[in-house]
Amino acid sequence: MSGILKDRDLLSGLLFLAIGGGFAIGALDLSIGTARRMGPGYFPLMIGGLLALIGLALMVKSIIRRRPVPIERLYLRPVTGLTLSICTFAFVIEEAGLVLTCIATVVVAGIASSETKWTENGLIAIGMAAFAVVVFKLLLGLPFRIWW
Amino acid sequence: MESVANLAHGFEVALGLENLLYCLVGVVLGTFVGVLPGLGTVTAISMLLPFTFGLDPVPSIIMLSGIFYGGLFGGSTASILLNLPGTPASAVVALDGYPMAKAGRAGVPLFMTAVASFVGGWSAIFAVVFAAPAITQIALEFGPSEYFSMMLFGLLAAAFFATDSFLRAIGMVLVGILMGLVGMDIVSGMMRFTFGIPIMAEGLSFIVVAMALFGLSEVIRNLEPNAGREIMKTGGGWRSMMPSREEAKRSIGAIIRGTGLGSFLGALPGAGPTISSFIAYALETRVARDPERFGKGAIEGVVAPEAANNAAAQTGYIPTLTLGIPGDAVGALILGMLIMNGIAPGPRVISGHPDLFWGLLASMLIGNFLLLWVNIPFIGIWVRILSIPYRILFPMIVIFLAIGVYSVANSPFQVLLLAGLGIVGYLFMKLDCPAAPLLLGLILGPMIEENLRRALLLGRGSPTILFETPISAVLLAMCGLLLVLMVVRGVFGFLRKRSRVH
Repeated sequence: MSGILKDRDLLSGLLFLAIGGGFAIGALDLSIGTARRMGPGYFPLMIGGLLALIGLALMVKSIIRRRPVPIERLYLRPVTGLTLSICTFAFVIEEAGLVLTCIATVVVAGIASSETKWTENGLIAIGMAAFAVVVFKLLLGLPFRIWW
Repeated sequence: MESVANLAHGFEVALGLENLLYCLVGVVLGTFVGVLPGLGTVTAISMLLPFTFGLDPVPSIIMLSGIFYGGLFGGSTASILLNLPGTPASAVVALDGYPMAKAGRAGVPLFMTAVASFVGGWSAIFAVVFAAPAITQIALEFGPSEYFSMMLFGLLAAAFFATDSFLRAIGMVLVGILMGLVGMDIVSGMMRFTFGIPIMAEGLSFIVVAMALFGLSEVIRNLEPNAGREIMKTGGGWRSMMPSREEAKRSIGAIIRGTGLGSFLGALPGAGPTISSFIAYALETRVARDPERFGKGAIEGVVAPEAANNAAAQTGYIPTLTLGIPGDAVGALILGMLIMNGIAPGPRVISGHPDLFWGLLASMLIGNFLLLWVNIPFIGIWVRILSIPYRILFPMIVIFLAIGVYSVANSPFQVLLLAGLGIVGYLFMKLDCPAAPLLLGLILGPMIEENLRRALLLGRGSPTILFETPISAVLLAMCGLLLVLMVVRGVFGFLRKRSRVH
């Protein structure tokens, strides 16, 4: 029975229930209105409720089937590496300009893979910084600062 | 014959130097991204969207479309040589293309997929030229009930085709619709689900969501440790690319069937190139007199799906441009791009923006022709690109994603949203929840709500108004049919698995 906790249907159902329920409860704070004159909360309440029901149905299906299909393994290294890398971009871009941001983002992204070779990564970082400046700033004229 | 005159005007637009250049850039970039495994066309388009930010709507839609069908053209290369799909729509080509490559005949399927894509693409574009204006005439009569029912049908069809598990697929559609509700309610001006963050008033940008779910989470998935790849050798020269007489004969029928099937399925809202290619393959195994050849290098299994996916890509523009209802995730992106450029989607696009519509169709005819020259003589270069290791590619993709999202609104907040949604997308992937229905729901959600509100206001709150006009009633009946089919399929699958256990 312990395997059922990792069952794909059960977890998907739980996620749907949480998202749908969350939106439905949030919609209660808005005015609901009537079917003829719908308030801003009417449609979200309807859709959120429906999603929560579908989540419940998936969970019930998972429990009566009793043949859990465990979810695929989650690999933490690529998730954390790439998340950190994108966040680096978000935090640095307004402060340090395009060149340094690109270099930092590529270097942090290197964490995501066990195959990263760091000298190669450094070259990619410099290459991408140059590419970004030439293409996005100079050719396409997007409003980036090159330096800080 | 009005269509012919309009198409001639389209050629004037598409053959302008600037548009021709963007068409070429689009198809080359598309082929490049399509060849690379692990980068789908949706990712490619969303990633390369910032390139179009400074452009007028006509060159940008021409280029984005070029990336789309160019990606489908190039996608088969990786399927054939690596047994890895370059794009999901080309996955099924690997079944027979890879065995041919293993037998030392890689040139034949590479050449034949290019021919099949070309034939499928051109035929389907002509279908659009003649069908789209007619459908527009009907669509001009559409009221809120028809729009609501049409979109409901599109979403259900997307869910139906996306996966075997209809609960999951419908759930993902609903998640998308809910995400689309974030922001300011257009009727009352109230903020919904913004958590008091001012920038959220504009809602979740479909670009951010698409880049997160199709781009970032795909990169995460591709970085999971897995087995190495082995590239099959291609023999050099034109001669090694020529099919045998027997194969050429078999291909003709297969290409025609694939084109017909793809053109039809592509025009339905909710079914796109990927589904068409799978159904075309299934059809070939049914009509063949000796189905045991399939999976061992049958040429029909290579050309039919390729003709079908390219045909579906082109007819997919029919619902997108005539009704404003995207047929699949790519249609959703194109639609979003039009809205960003201030073009209101719907039946008035063709008459209001003839340069855009006819120029696009003409450019697709030109682009498909260019693709033959981009693909066949230069196949050696594409094969070399295939062998770039992923550890070099992925940091580049990350930069493209980040810069793309940032450029949408010059806001670091959107980039953080990308990171967060990327994790969510990876989780959905692991839970086997398909992302395409979510994107459709996201784009259609606000329109569905608006039309439902209007319809019910007209009907004084009674939902029977939705059944009062014939078109809407028929569409709702089709929705009902789809639901019944999904339930039946689900229950049968459930019982079959159960009986296997006991």
